[in-house]
Amino acid sequence: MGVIAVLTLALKQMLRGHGLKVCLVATLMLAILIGTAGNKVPGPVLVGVALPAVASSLIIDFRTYYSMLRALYMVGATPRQVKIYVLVPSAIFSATYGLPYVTMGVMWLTLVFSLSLISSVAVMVLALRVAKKGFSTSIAMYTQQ
Amino acid sequence: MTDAVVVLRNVWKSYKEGDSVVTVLKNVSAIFYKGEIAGIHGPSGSGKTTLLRIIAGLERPDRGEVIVDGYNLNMLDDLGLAMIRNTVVSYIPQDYGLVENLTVKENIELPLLIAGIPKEEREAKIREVLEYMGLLSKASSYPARLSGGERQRVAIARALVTTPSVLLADEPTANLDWENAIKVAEMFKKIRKDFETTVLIVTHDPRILEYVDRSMNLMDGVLKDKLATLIGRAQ
Repeated sequence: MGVIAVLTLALKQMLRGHGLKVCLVATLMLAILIGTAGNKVPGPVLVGVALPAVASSLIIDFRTYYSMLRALYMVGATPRQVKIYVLVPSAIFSATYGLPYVTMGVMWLTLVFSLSLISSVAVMVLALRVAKKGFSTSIAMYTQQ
Repeated sequence: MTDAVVVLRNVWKSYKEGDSVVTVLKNVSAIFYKGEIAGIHGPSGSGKTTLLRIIAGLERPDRGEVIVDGYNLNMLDDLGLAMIRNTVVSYIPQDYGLVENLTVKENIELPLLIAGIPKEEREAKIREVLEYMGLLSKASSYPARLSGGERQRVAIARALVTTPSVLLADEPTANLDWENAIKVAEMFKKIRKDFETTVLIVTHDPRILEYVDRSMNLMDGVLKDKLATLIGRAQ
């Protein structure tokens, strides 16, 4: 019940935020880098560029995700609905970032996908934990800014 | 005003702070009745917000019993508590808890959306509550564009849209000037009259207590209330 509604909310928030746009730009830049330099770009460099980009993309919208998770928790979202809200943006971010490379069949880039998925989930779980526990005035005032 | 809607019996709550344990609520007992506006007054750090959060099912007590509208919260799992928060109790945090990139209408829609209420019914309820709170013209605005008083009214509208039995307001006037604070206090009286909602207001502003039916003092985790004392003695 209400699962589609939560999916819609997650998508709406992603489109209104800036994180996904940053993620897409970073993906495009990496694609150009690979396109021009081909296999000369060392795998660790790709991973080193990609992971901070995907993590920062999520962190840019952290406050939004945090406030939504907090609101969902307050107005009685079920544990399942909250899990869906955590997983959907994470999955979209990591897919946006990793899938194009995975389809190229490059092992290092498959690693990028895996690690970006893990980092996305980690950021969202952090947002959830703060939302559940972080009702202190300082955090509350921060989100109000 | 005789039906008990919220019953607290010997509620204890502690938090770990580094190596030490801080007891925030100490053997708190109280009864709040249908259609009552009760004010809980006390200084910062006295446990007021924790008490509200326990009644809202956002936190669980370490010991003691919490009964809200007939539901014993101790007996409920996380899903049950979520249901209580969605249908029985509405909590308004001090910073209003609005989602900044959702419009006023979308913010108010949240509890109805997650309850799976059909669109037509949602639209009707939102319109009704927007009209009631005088926010119809602000439906498409984002919270950042609203004044403090308007943000507070949006938070109340979101809390009211599910017509809960209990409305919990944490420092509802803390971020408002006195004129808007009075308007909010009057609004709670109107809500009580129109919906018979039980309203619990936590505040450190003694002036707001002029607008409540009954006030209690929470000091160092101890709630001082005549009824609570009687319950304690009876046990």
